[in-house]
Amino acid sequence: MTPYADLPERCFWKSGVARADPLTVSGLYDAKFRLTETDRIATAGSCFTQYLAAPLRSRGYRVLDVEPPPPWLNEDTLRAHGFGIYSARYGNIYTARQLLQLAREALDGFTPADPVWQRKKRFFDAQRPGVDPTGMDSAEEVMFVRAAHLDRVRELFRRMTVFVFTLGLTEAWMYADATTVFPTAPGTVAGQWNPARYRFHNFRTAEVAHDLRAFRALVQQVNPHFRMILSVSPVGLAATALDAHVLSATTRSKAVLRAAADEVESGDEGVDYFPSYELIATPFSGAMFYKPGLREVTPEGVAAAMRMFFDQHPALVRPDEQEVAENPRDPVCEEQLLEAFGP
Amino acid sequence: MSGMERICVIGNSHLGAAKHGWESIRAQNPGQQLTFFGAPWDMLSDLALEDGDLVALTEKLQHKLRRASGGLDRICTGDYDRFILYGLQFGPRRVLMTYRNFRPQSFEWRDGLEDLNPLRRERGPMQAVSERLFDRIALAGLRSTLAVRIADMIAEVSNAPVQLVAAPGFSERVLDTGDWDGPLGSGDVDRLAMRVRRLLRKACPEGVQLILPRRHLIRHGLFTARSYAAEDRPGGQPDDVHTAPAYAGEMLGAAISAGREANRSAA
Repeated sequence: MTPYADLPERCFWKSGVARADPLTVSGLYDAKFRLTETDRIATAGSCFTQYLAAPLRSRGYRVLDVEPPPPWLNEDTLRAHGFGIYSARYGNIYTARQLLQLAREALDGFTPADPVWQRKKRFFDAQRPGVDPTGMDSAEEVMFVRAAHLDRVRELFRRMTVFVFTLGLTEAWMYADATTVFPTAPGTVAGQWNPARYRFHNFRTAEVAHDLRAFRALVQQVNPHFRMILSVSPVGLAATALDAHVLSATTRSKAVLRAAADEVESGDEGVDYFPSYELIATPFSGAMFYKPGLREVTPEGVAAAMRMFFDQHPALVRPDEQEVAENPRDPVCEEQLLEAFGP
Repeated sequence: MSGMERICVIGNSHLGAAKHGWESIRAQNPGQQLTFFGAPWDMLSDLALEDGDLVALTEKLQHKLRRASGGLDRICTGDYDRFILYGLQFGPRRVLMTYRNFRPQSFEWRDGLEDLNPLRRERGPMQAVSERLFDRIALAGLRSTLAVRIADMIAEVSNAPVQLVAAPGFSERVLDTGDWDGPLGSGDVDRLAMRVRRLLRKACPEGVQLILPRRHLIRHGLFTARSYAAEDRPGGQPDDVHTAPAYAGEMLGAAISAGREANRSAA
């Protein structure tokens, strides 16, 4: 007898990985809690979560969108302005610190340093420079729009029952006094690089775990029972600011995020971990789920992650049972024509 | 041009009032012969080009076209000297729908507003957006209307002039609900009216002549004046969407005389 004798097949590499197929694998994700029809789900982060809302909705789950788009914008315009990607137009939230900072801004009166960036006489929200790609007319306009955005985020944090968040990066750019973290490097989307004004920071495991716990504690003050599902993005770093090979930097970053997620998840019944990273970015699937550059995930990879997710959170309705929200049709419109042109 | 000017009028439910309006101004326009084609809601999105004509893709639409035109089930574009697109969603409502949930800094009123469509009375949250994004949303709304789509199709196959009679706004009666007291009192309605005119002109397809309502037909630059709004629905419920024939007659008359003017200048 050994302590491994009674363990299930998933615990052994030979049966769990070597003989398993990434497209049909079972037991890799064993949900700590199931989503239900009463859950109000919010999404944020990067990668996997941006694809989650539509399949969740089509399976009958309620996904919050506190900044919904107008019905007539086309898909490209919607995405370019951050509509419909996550539960609010906060753009990608790559680091746990950025998430905590957003919650502190929305719930705790925190004011980030250097809130407005410029590019060619246009003004951008430094905390989400990508969601208004042509920028705004003035710094005041940026602050006006951000204040209303934070109202919506506050509402989201109060209403959600489940928060799905993908951890993306550990490398980040901060304001020189370290009070504020930015989602992008100054000078890339907007802003201007100035080494005296900004500094690089590579978050460590303890910091990421601390920030996730602090986020959870802060939101629990207004929403005590919300739960979280964490995942780690399998998308590699486009570039590293470390004096290191980008592959080493990526491995380090993902290891830190994975370890921090485990730290937070293992001690909290209200936090689960979804292993999309393990499915896509390990020898299990080789590079089959990566596009030719080996950085971005293919639609097949996203689909495989979705399959694994929905194995544990089965559809609440069949697609053919979906209620189609049709525009109400005012009978008076037809009557107007009948009356004028009728027999 | 010699003889009768043959004008093709295409519209959605507002075409009902236009038909009645035409009957009241017909005597003053003896040189024009109008043929109407229409269908309610967005049913005309099933109109497509086929061999240079506009044809219905569904039997339902074919039936509507036949009924409005008195027997024609396709719009033979070569049979007309001019096209008037009547309403077809291209009007202040798309901008009002934008304002209902999206507010740039230049507007004062900060609350969300109820949907003016009586069938959906839900109140949406107010989202602040940049001036540019507001215009972009409203313009996208106007450019996705049936009017623009049909104007584009006509331009592909015909050189005949096209006029676009803007769809009416909501009736002045919607102001009685009190929901618009804030935007009215803050001056937002005036700002919105100016914006609507600018955006309608900007969204109007190139080469298409836009016909906007004269001042006496509207209140606050946006809402159809009470005396020009449609009568109540059967059962006494107000119809805040459509207009009276008198309004449509004036709009149609304005389009016809503007077209006549253009013909004269061209000659």
